[in-house]
Amino acid sequence: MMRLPRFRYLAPRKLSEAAAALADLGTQASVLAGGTDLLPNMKRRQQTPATLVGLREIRALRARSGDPGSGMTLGALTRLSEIEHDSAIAANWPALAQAAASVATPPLRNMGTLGGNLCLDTRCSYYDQGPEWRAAIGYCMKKDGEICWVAPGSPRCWAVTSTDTAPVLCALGAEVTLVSAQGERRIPVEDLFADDGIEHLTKKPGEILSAVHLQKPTPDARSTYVKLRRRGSFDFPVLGIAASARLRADGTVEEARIFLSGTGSRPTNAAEAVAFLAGRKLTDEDVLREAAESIAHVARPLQNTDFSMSWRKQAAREFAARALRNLLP
Amino acid sequence: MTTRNVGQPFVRRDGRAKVTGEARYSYEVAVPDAVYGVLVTSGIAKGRIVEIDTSAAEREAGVLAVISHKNALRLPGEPHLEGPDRVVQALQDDRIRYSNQPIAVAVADTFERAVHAAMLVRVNAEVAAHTVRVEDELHNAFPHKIMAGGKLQEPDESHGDVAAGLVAGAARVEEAYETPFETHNPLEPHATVASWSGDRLTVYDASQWVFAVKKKLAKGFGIPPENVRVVTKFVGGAFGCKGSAWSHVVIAALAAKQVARPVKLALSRHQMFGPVGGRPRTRQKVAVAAQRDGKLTAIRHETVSPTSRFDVFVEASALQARHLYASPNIESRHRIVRLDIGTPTFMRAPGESSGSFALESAMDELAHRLEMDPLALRLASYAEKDPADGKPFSSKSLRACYQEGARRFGWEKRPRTPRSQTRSGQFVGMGMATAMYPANFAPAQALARMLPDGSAQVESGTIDLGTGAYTVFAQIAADELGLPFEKVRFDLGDSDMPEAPIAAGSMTAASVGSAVLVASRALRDRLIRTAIVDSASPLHGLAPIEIRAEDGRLVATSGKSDSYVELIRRAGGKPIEERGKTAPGDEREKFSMHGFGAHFAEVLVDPDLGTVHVSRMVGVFATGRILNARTARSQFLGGMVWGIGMALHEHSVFDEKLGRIMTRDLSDYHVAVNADVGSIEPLFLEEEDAHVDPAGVKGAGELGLCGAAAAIANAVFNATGKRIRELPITPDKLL
Repeated sequence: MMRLPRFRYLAPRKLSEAAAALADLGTQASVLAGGTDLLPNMKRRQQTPATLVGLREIRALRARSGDPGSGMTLGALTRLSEIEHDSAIAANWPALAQAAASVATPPLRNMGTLGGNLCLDTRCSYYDQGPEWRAAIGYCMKKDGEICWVAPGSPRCWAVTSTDTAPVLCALGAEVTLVSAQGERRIPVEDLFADDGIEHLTKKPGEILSAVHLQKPTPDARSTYVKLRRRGSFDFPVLGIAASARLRADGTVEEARIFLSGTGSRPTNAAEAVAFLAGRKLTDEDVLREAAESIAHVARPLQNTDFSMSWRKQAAREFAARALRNLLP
Repeated sequence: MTTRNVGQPFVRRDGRAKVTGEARYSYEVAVPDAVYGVLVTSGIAKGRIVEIDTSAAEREAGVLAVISHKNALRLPGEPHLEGPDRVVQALQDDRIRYSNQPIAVAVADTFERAVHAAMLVRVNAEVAAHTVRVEDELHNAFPHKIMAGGKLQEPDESHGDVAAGLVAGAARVEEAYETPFETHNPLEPHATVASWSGDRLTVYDASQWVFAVKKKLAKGFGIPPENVRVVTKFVGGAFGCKGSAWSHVVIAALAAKQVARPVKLALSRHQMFGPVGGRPRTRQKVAVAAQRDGKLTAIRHETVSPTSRFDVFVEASALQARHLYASPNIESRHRIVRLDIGTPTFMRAPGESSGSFALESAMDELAHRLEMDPLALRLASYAEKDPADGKPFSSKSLRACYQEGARRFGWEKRPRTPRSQTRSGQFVGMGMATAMYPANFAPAQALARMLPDGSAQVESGTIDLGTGAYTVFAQIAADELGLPFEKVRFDLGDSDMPEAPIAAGSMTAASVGSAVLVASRALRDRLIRTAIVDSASPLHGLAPIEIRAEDGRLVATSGKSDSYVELIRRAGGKPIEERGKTAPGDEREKFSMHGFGAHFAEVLVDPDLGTVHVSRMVGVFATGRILNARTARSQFLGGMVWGIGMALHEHSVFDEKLGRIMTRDLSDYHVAVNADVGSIEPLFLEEEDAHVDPAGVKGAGELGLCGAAAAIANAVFNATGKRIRELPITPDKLL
């Protein structure tokens, strides 16, 4: 039955207080932002922190600074619905607005935050179950157990990243600030993720993701996010493709970045496709198709992801082509 | 009968209460001193409980008891009834028969503590080998009589020579079709509140049939039925799964007896998967053949569906093949297999919805093979009489449904060949299918009472499943009594009221509606008699035939009148009441009775990804008299949207190794959301049916789903040239 376990709740008003609390509590604590992912997981006992450090009272985390002309910083607590409806974001970083708008449902987007969506727990059919269900199979290595039910011989966990904003921010070359009692560091969003279903974030337990920094878009910058899902709304991505590129007037790719969601434990970098595209004309259908093929190649399907492998391979290719076409004016 | 109210689109009387939260669903009924029960369910599909350790749970604050087979009171009787009832597991033995079977209940003073206690129960079970795959048991498939339409029907029926007919046709289709396990998942989960007072039991239950719950509990606990009262005022959806009292109902009453406190027990969403039924998977084979002109030379429909090891439910998918199309040779066969699963049960249009997917897909395939318009093929074998027994239909306006639907939908614009029409890069496809559902009618009773203030109170122990019962029965009574709608109150959902049948099988409007009509008419006649023998009445001495009821008065043809208020005041000021009772009569022997309709669907299919969007649906239905144009429309709307879910989404996925259902909540048990639903247009053609039942109603709850998934599947074929014979139609099947 879905009820929260017992926990202590702290509501610091300053980021430094939150960081200090986390430094004291270590792995016993979790950070609570919008709660749309963490609280249901706690109800299912997938996460059982003794203390929740709530961020909602920290004004600084809602702050926004900069502008499209110079780059923009969004506080980690910026709601997904704010991003979805922000005209400056839609005009300059359209992929981010598209990704935010595709998350879950309007009520969940009103609660869910950008920082929270970036730190979304990885998912797996054997993990996203109630406590009784997981107990009955002796749990899995992601929580309380030893083995991986997806690949029983595997030494690692294959749970899958399902965040919509992470591949976009990777593709946009955005950065995040992580604050801890020791100070703060700023890293590319790309480096926030690790290829492991359990340790999927490089963020240390004492660190709080405080802000997301969007680079100033160049006049020739374009970006897109396409999300394939089972139904029209209220669904995690079967496959998400985020792409950004700088295109010359003749369609030649100056630079591109392409990341995928729903294909592995971290946003997958389609580096080969990107290297292939550099200097080539995206308006050339052969180039576009070959790049799409290359993107599909890294969309490696797993047993714990939705639909059959053969469909995923084929759909990934077509879907990638669609994402690339979206980049064309 | 004047129909000033019947047919009008009055808004639901309970709508405001439901939207504002004022309506109390069964679990929300305030019962003093109630404690909370939370079930512990089995984590394996089959075996035996060796040990169940409840000590940690029992030590927790607020925990009153943890009841398992070890300490549960032995029920003096078997809590099982004849008819549409299910065998339950009420903690009486150590056997585990299916995954998620209730094996213990934790009872505590708060819900949270009960949840916590249930989580602390440790079960050590001896695991036995299970089978949850239909394929593994096909060699043991067997026929069983089918409980449908309130009577037992033969599993097999055949007339003519189907083998010869199949060869005689100019074209033939013989294909296998499949529909998956589906789970009802009404928004309101199952919930029961049980309260004992001595050997009297009061139960608030999320139920479609309070009288069966009453009898079942009385039998199980060995007390007279009159000692049990069951109340269900509001139901948040049911669709069949609340049609029988499952294990948790008995367990709630048992726990309440054992802790000597009222117990509230609700299932979690996850516990909805397994122990409270679902639509069983079906494996169907359909063979149809036709002459070049489309006349069917043979229909054969065979189906296999699973049931549990300990109970029988037959998904009667092949029943409609007996009645739908004219053909000299028709054969239908039902087989079931036993699996280690919870017993499946009635789910909206049981049989007809799963069966129509197969039969109506096969008809579409046959039309394609004959290079014929699918609608023309259906018209070529239009059944003027019931093909099963040659009986005339009590009413049948299917031809008009086809015509009106085709016109409204723009059927003539259907692409002649697959992949020939695109819209913004998507293939456009159009498909159609026939809808048919039996007009069921069961014995029902009602009471009508005229109050001294000239308003009426009418009641029957039926259920409003969200269908509009509170509203439509007041409309019927208002017309019979010559009262404005606002002056009639209809109450329901209490086993102390006149007995009503199960609110299922699309028969509530017909059955209870007829009882309300008869009771109201009896009351009106009684009031007329009271007036004509009353020397102080202006109507004194008139003949009853000269008097009608109108605007709260009895009015004579001469113009003289008497009001209900005056009449009752002179008669002593006490309410006057009459009871009414209806039951099916000989007409059922003389006529075949069904509601009919036609679905038309347009889909857009992404050629690269295989994703399907239902852009448009038109459904035209003829099902007797429409009691309320708004609530009837909502029912058809709901049926058609369900059709989208059935065609594209719904699927309870088993992990066959574990023997457990993996889908656990509404985030992964997919139903259509708003974004999946394009334009939906349900229409109905009113029929005058003098034979079907006194209310002239044939039922609207299930008809809208029958054929809906097939129309979508046929549209998908028209769009892509791919025939998907296994639901749901997911994108991977289309590439």
